Order: sequence, then C-alpha cells, then structure tokens
Amino acid sequence: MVEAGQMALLISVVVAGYAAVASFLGATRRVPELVASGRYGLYTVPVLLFVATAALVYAFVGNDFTVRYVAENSSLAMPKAYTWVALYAGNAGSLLFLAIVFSTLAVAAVLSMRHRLPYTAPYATGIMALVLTFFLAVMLTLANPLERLAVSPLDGQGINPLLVHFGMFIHPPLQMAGLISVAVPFSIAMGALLAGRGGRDEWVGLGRTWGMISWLIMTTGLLLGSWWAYTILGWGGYWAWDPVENSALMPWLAMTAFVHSIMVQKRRGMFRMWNMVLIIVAFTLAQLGMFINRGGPVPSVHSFAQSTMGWLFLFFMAFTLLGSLAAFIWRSGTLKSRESLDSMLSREAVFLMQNVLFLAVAFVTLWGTVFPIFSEVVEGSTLTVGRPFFDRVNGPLLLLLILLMGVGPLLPWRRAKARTVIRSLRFPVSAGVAVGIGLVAAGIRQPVAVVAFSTCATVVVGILHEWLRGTSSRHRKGESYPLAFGRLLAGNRPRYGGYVVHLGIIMLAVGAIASSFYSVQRDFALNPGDRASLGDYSFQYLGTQTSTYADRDETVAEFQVFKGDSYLGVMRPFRAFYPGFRISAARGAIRSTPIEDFYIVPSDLDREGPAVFRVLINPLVWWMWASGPIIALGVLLALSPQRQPAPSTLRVPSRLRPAGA
Amino acid sequence: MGARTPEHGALPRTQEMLVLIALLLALIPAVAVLYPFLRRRSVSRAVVEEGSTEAELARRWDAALSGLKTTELEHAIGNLAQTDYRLLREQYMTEAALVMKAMDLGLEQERDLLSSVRREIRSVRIRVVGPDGPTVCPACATPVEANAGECPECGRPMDDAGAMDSDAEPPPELPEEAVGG
Repeated sequence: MVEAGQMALLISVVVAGYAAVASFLGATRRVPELVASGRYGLYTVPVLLFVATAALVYAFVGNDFTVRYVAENSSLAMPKAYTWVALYAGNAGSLLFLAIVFSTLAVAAVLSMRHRLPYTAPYATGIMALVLTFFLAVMLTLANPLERLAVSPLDGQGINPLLVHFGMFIHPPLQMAGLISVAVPFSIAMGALLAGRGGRDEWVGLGRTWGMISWLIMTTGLLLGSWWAYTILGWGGYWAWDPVENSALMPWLAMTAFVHSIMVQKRRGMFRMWNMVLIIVAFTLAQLGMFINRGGPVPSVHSFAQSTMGWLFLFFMAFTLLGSLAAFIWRSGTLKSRESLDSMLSREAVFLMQNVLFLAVAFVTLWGTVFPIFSEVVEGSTLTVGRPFFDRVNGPLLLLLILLMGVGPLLPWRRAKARTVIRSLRFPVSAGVAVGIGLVAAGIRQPVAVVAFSTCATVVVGILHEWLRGTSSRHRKGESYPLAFGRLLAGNRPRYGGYVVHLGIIMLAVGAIASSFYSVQRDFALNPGDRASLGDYSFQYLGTQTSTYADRDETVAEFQVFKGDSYLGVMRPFRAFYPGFRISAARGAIRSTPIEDFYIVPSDLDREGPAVFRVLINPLVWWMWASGPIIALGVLLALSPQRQPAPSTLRVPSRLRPAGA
Repeated sequence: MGARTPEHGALPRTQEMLVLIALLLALIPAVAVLYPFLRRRSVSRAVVEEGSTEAELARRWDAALSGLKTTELEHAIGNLAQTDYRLLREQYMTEAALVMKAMDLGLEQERDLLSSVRREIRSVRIRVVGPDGPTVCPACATPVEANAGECPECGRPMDDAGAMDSDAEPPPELPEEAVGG
C-alpha cells in the first residue's frame, strides 16, 4: 500500500507539471485540445493524492514504523483518533495535506470557471498546476511522507503533546488550507491578466467568490488558533503577535481588503489595477506565511512543522512575485478603469480608505515580524518587537477600520451629499456617544477603551437600525417580524451577509478590547487548604493529585471556586510532563461566561513549598469565540446564490459582433 | 528499543503487483489527458464566448441593473436623499439605455426588457416597504402613494411605462468604446 502511495505521488507530480505546460501552451497557441488535456490532467491529481493519503493513513493505522513519517509522528500509545492530527503534524505530512487540499480547490475552481471564463481559465489552470507542481516536487524530493526507513523502530516517537487537543483537529488544517487557498483567487486574477482580460471584469464575480471562500477559511483558522492558544497553551491569552500568528494575519488582512475592493470593480469598473496589486500582495504574504511556518529565520512558538526547506518557499515566493509583477506591468494597459471616483463621500471612497488601512496594518505587522532579521544584520544582535509595538501602532489603525466598517455601508455608491451622510450617521453616532457616556458613568475611565467601545456601538447600531427600519416597514404591511426580517435578509444577501460578518467582527473586537484593557491577573503561592480571592471571585486550593500515563505524568490541582456567596464548583488545572518529548505543558482551567472568564493556570506544582498559580479574570472573551459561527453564517449568506435576471434577451447587432463570433 | 527489518520488495510476486498498481495508477491520468485529442469536437466550441461584445454588453447591463436595484434599496431604507437618488437613478438608467441602444432589439423585446427591469426594481422596494408601501414614479423618481393612478409631479400613469420608455428623453449617442468593440 505504501509503495502504491509513493507511485501515486510520483505520477501526480508528472501530471501536475504536464497540466501546467499544456494549459499555458494551449492558451498561448490557442489549441483547445491541449487546454482541455491539461485541465483533465489536473482533475486526476486529487485522485492520485487521495491514493497517497490513503496509503499514509493505512500506515498510521497499522503502526507501520518502517515509514519514517509514521515513526516520527505516532506511537503504539497514540489514540487512533489522532491519526488525523498526525497526518499533518509533521513537515512532510503537512505538505501532502496542503497538496490534496489545494488540488481539490483547484479542480473545484476550474470546474466553476471553465465555461464562464474560457479565455481566463487555461491560464488560471496553468498557474494553479504550477503551484501544485512546486509543492509536489518539494515533497517528493525533500520531504516524502511515504519514505521507508532502512531500519525501523519497534515503536514510534509519538505525536507532539501540544497538538493533542480538539482544536488541533481543525485549526492547523484550516490555517494551512486558508493560506494555500489564496492561490485560487490569485490564479483567477492572474489568468485574466495574462489573457489580456484583466480590465474586462468578467473574472470579478468568481474572483470575489473564491476570495470570500479563502477569507472564510483563513478567518476560521485564525479564530481556532486563538482558541487553541487560549485553552491549551495555558498562558491566559489568545494572541501574542508571534511571527507565525502574524504570518497568518497578514494575508488575511490583504484578503479582507481584496474582498471589499473587488466589490467596487464589480459595481463600478474601478480599482482594476489596485485589485490586481491586492491579490498579488495577498498571495505573496500567504507564501511568506508558509515560509515562516517552515523554518523561516524568525523565532516562533510554532515549531512543529519546521524544517530546513523554508528557503525553497522563499525562492518560490520571489519567483511568483516577480512573475506576477512582470505580468502586471506587461498588461497594465488593459487595466484602465471604466470610471473614476465621483466623490470622497461615497461607498467606494470608504472602501479605498479601508483598503489603505488594511495594507498599513499588514505592513506594520510585517515590519514587526521581520525586524529581528534586520536588527541582526544591522546591529549584530537579534532584537524582537513585542506586543506594545503592535498594540500601539496597529491599535489605532484597527479602530479606524472599525469606524469605516460602520460608515461605509451607510453611504451610497457614487456620491452622497454631506447632509445625507449626516442624516444617515446621526442615529448610530448618537447611540455610540450615549454608550460612551454610559460607560464613563459606569466607571470605565480608559479613554481609548471608551472610544473603542463607542465606535463598536456606532457600527452595531448602524446595522441594527437599518434592519429595524426594513423589518418594521414590512411588518406594517402585515408580515410577522421574523418573516419580515428573514425576507429582508434574503432579498439582498451580499449586502446583509456582509452586515452579519460585520456584527461578528464587532463581537471579536469587543472581546479583544475588553480583555486587552480590563484583564486582571495575579500570581498566588498557595498551600493545600489556603484561600485567596481576585475580583469578585474567591477560591480554595484543595491540593494536587499526580497520575502516571503511558506518555505523560500528570499533576492535577483542585480548587473550589466561589463568586460572591455563590458556589461555582470545582476547577482542575493541571500540568503534564511528556518524557518522550521532554515537554512540560500546562492546561488552564477556565470557567467561561458571556460576561467574563475565570482562568486558573498552574505555574509551578513541582517545587518544594507552596504551589504557584496564575489567576486571571478575562472579560468578554466568550464573545470572541462566539463570533466565529456568526462570521461563517454571514459569509455563507453573502455567497448563497440569488436569482439573477437572465440577460438572455440581449442580442447584439451583427455589425458589433467580433469577427468569428 | 529494538529493531526489525522492513519486508518490502522481498517477493517477486509483490513486485509484479507493484508494477500492476503503477500501470493502473498511470492509466487514470493517461486516459484523461489523451481524451480531448481523441474527441476533438467537444472541446473547441466554447472559447469564443468570453470576449464577445455580447458578453461585454451583458456585463454592463447586469452592472447597470444591479446599480439601479441597490439605489432603489438605499432609497427605500432611507439611506439616500431624494436628489442623490434621482441623480444615481439617472446615471444607471443612462448606462442601461446605452447598452440597450447597442442591441438590435425589436419593439416588443425592448418593452419586455423594460418591464422586467421595472419588476426587478419594484421587487427591491417591495422587499423593504412591502407590496402596499409607497413607490416612486419611474419617470421622475418622485415618491408616489401605492394606489395612485398617476404621478402627482409629472402626471405619468403609474403603469408599466417608465423613464426608459420610448417617449422618455433619448439617451446620448453611443460612443464607440461603450460597446467594447
């Protein structure tokens, strides 16, 4: 079975290479058979990779430690459920995972565009096949997940204990899939550019759809990553501006700008060059993310998939960046916009400002991420910039973005009079100001936090106000409120889907703002029986219990927790030591409510004397995790098909038809 | 920790099996990439559509219609002042008229198309204000009560006729580049 998988891998790289060459040649020489041949070849790549993946799973399930990757990433003690995690836990396996995900996405993308974009599709197919060929070639030559060992061990090394968590079932695959999925809208855009059709906007519909799919995958991956860090890493936080976190955030920011900006091109035929630049930037940043994740030069806590092959990814990034810039310059003449910006008081102007801000945050984050390299070159020592830098620079920019998120949808396309804008904004802004005053009256005195919460309130009230007006209007005509609301949303799904996403983002922002400004933490040294308190919470440390398992020694601490006079229950944070990996991991105990999280982390349970714990109260963090499904729902609503009036009644006079049509 | 020797490749029969599997695996893409050359007729037809003037006009038509619908929605929910609404509506109507002028449509087809546009726009307003809510005059964009027989501003009957009707102000001459030719 393993050998069959190896052969499937070998054949898949040949076929992907052929698909790239046939698609480009067929497109440039205008040979439809060659184009179709390349396309059909690409269709078979996921099938071949499925065979390779099945071979690897078979080796995992059968504990075939003659396969190097299985020996390095599993053990006899590993529960079989973690085979799925082990599949991408190491470098070689994650490459195979990336390849099968990307090949499947590529086939879906080609199927979606082969009739709608017959000129663009061959080039886009060629680009996707080229990306796939690179991944497969690297895997086959440098990190073959099906490579046999000359001498095999009786038991495997086991899986990295930090990965043994439910979040790991979803976060890494989605994160990897998110980064590679950027290649799909990139390929469609570049395909249109190479075909000389970048200025004709026919690619925009599919580019937007695939951009939003990619954005959704990345968003979910980022949220799950934060959730994993919060619940398993045991440091009480969810975002540390770690280089790998940043490397996932940067393409997300660029893609967020892209999915907004592409709407302007769709609607107004504007921002054609800008959108090409955005998607090139997004793909480049996605590749940078893969490079940093795979042995890049910046230090990171995400080291499980590291290798020395990172530089190959950097080389490929430079190759695709230069190639796409060359295509951009070559075809820039075809990218002239149909129209120009009518007024700065218009939705497209807000989109432009928001785009600039998104890119500003992305480049600030990039600078902070690569700063250690520059400092080493210039100063001779590695200096890292930490959270204060990112918070101070990105914080105001993100706040401005949230404000624009509230203003933009309330402005019409093309132009608006100042009076109209004031009228549209007066209610949400008044509500935001009222919230600010209320917060100050309630004792919240941090000026930045008050402004941030007020801004969020402005956005939410703007959205809800529009929904309320629409729903009430329909309700007055006899529809029940739920029906009226449902029909309002269904009537313009892209718009209202976007609003739902915005609400999700506000939930995320509120959690981040509250926990950044009002998180309380204190370290306690406690002996069994000791009582202590933090905020409204009081707790009694009952003692520890140590158990030995096949792969770890686990020390569980036990607390009785009260809030005021109410008994909340027993909380059990623990520390585990994994001798096989020489890793000691802490798992906090969290009591989570929509108001706040009470969080106990065991810092030191092994030393003589009292045990040391860090106790935190993190307000409103629950809302961050709750935002995920809301955001997903919004994207799905925005992408759901809506009946379009068929333009089939249009007929072009023969004098206007191109020759041969 | 002990060690054991891998057993792969030990038996000739296994090697025969591997060759067979390799051939079977290679056969899948081989058939796929050769198929288009064997069935030439099925692949060469679609490549003319994307860049055609028809497709370009259809896209411009969709954009104009989409703009009209959004303008209607913004106005219905109160985001757009009457003057901005009129201006935007006129711009999108002009674009739609330019596209229509480039079509070689018969009178009947033109009427059908106009009716469908009006229905689309009206349906947007109905989604917000309901079927009995106030509407606007399709010719001068003045708000009109639901059951009014004619527009109080311009006197036009509130039936299927509209701003793009044949006796409405004619659209400007069609520039060459407007049809993408």
